[in-house]
Amino acid sequence: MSVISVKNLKKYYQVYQKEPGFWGSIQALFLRKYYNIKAVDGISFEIPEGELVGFIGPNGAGKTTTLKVLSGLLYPTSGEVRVLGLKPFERQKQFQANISLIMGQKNQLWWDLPAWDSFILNKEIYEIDEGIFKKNVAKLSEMLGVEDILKIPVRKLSLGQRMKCELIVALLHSPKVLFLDEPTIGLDVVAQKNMRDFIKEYNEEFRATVILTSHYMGDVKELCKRVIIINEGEILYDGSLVSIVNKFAPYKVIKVDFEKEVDVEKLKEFGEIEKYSGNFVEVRIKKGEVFATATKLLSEFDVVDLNIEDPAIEDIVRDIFNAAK
Amino acid sequence: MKKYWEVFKITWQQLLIYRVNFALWRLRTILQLLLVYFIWWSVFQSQDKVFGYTTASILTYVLVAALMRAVVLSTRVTDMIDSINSGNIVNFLIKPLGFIRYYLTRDIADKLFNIGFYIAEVSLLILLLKPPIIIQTKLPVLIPFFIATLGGLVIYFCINFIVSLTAFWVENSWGPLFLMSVFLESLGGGLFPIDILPKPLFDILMLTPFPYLIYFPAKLYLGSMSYSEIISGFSIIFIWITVLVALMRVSINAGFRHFSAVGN
Amino acid sequence: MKKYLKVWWLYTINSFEVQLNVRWGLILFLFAKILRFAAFAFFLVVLVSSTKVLAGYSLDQVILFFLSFNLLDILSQLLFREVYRFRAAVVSGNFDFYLIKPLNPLFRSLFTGADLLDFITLIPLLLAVAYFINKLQVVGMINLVGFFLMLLVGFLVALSFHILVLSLGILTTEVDNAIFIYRDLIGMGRVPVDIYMEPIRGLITFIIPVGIMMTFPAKALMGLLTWPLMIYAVLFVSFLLYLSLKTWQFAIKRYSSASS
Repeated sequence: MSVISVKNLKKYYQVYQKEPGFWGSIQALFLRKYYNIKAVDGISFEIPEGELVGFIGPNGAGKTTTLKVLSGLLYPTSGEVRVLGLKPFERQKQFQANISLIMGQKNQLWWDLPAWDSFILNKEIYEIDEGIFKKNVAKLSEMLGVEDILKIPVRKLSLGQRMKCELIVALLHSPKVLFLDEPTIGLDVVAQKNMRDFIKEYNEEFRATVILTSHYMGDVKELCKRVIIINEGEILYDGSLVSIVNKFAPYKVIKVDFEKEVDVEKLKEFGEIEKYSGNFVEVRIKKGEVFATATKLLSEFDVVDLNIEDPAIEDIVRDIFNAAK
Repeated sequence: MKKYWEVFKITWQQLLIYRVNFALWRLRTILQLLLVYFIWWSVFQSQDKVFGYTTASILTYVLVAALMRAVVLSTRVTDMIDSINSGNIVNFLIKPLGFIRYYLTRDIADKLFNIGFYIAEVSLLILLLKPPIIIQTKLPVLIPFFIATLGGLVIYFCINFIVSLTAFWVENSWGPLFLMSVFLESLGGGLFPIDILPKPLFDILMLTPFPYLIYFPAKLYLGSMSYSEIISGFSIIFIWITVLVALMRVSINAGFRHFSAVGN
Repeated sequence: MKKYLKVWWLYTINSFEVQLNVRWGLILFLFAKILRFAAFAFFLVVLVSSTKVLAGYSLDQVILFFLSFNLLDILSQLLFREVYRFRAAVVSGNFDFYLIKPLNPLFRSLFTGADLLDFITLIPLLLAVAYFINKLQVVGMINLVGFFLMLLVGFLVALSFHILVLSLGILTTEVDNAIFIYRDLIGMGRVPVDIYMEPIRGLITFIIPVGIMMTFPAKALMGLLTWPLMIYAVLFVSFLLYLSLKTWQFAIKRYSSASS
């Protein structure tokens, strides 16, 4: 059975716009122009227990809106949503006790107090048993390596340390479903890596279902087998990361090092040139023509090295978004 | 000069965007006015003269004090606290924009806006309640009244400026601001003309800057002050302005130095 | 219930610890509050000593009105302090955290910032109330029961107003001083509402219940409040509370369907 099930979800909302300048303000005083924004426009997907799914899409694509609907913050305009068999918007206790939402840009820890105080508070809010609470704090802080900073006021911590504490406070009640909205935003490379490792470990160890949004492909590439690509409120792709290549990239990339410099004009007939620097070239070739092209290159030039590769995921996704515009 | 005109326009635009907020702010001042007005009105239901004031003079005092609130006490200087806390204050270090002039412009814009509303509200109030009021027409009274109002405005600007600058050093600057508003309300003449207080207390208060924001101009308007009182009042205003302007300049320099040194 | 008490206590302690970080700001606030109270009391004493009566009330009676106003005012500020921080929570989006937790969001928004410091001002105030009750020689249990009943009504009016302010904070983020409107409104009740001219008196007694909240308790104590008015007050507050809860539910629903 699916832990998360979404059928034809739509979420529209109204915004108003104002002409710039002083007269615009006067106009807006009497008359505001409202229009609908289709944040999410008819999406459907199912996620089984224990899966780690990545949502990717540019800013304003509808990722965060979807996450908020799933966590019960937003009421859907239409469509059916079930998480753990419950309707998120009803915000039943049973639902709330089993989910958690982590937003990279917001924090729930008390700024002036040690993280420990916030833990205790959440222990009472989620009615966590004393023994389980201690076990969870110990386990989570060990996994994240933050045992010794829990008694320091949060404002004295670095952003990376603070995010780790945010994770602990959000996971104290062992949620079965975890929504992560841009969890690595603003973190340095090392902290990003730590965060990813932890999410992966948590997912495996607790069989928790995880949805993660990010605009760092790195997060998704490393963590998620399955990705859902959203743009302008619609799903462009839902499937394994590997088969994105098959679906969206009907081409391969040939990288060639030449013995000596080759005129770029002579290379153009082989395919679309991605990179060129005198004695190195990267060319896009349609899948069916790879062998023929490679043979031709080898026979016509003095080749030092030749590689045939799949295009990078980042490039494919960028192409998808560019094409959708 | 043109850039300050833009600052002025932007300030008005912000007031218009947060129109509900502004309307509610005006409602607040009306409610405060009604409380004071009716306490005095009620007192004069049973007597003709209290503390040397007649119905007309006290109700006029209350309405002029409300004008002082609109002119002197409406301010945007305290926005500085947020911009120091958020670090946006750095803009003044990198842009060719005068720090004092910027806030003075915003203040004037805000005051003009408030005065407009004050006139509408008080006209309505006078129409509805028909209080006996004194319309002052003598220029020898009105001119000192205007000068005193300007003086009060400058004093209040400087005090707010200095208190807001403390945000460079401390986390919570609202404490002193709140204390100051209480001082003004209670001992600056907002609630009652402070000459009803015992003489020694009154004399001490007159040495502080607070009575010059509401009480002194409002009392001048009534035209019942002696020459010696008027002269000593203006001397004290002059001294305070000199001291506060100097202090303000010193604090600005110290604040920015602290800001660049600590870099928060 | 036990959980909510525990959670309330933890929040209260945490807020207090945070307050202690800004000690001198704290002392200034406390000092300013005491000054404001003292200055107004002083004004009333100076004024009414000179005029002997205010709207037909003696000095002691006027003071009792003022004290019972402060009692309700401090009590509601003490308990509902979190309301003052609510707009910031909505604007920053932290209100989202209120909604995903198994803790009533209304409880979270109203009660979780109780101010221990205000307890300090509450104690001398209670003593002063007791002193003036004694001085005015209030006799009869009925008057005392009426007093406490009307205080309870006044407290519920305050509660309803705070809920309405919270709802407004969700419905529009344009307003950041709604709570201060409320404060200025009830501030009119520092003196018995009888001083106001009609129709203002009627308006703030029966429509905007400043009179019910602030003037009725002291009147009940002095035996000046009739039964029909007490019954009216009880009915009124029941309706107001119902209305405010409905508005809150509506606001929550709007938040979930309108925001991005």
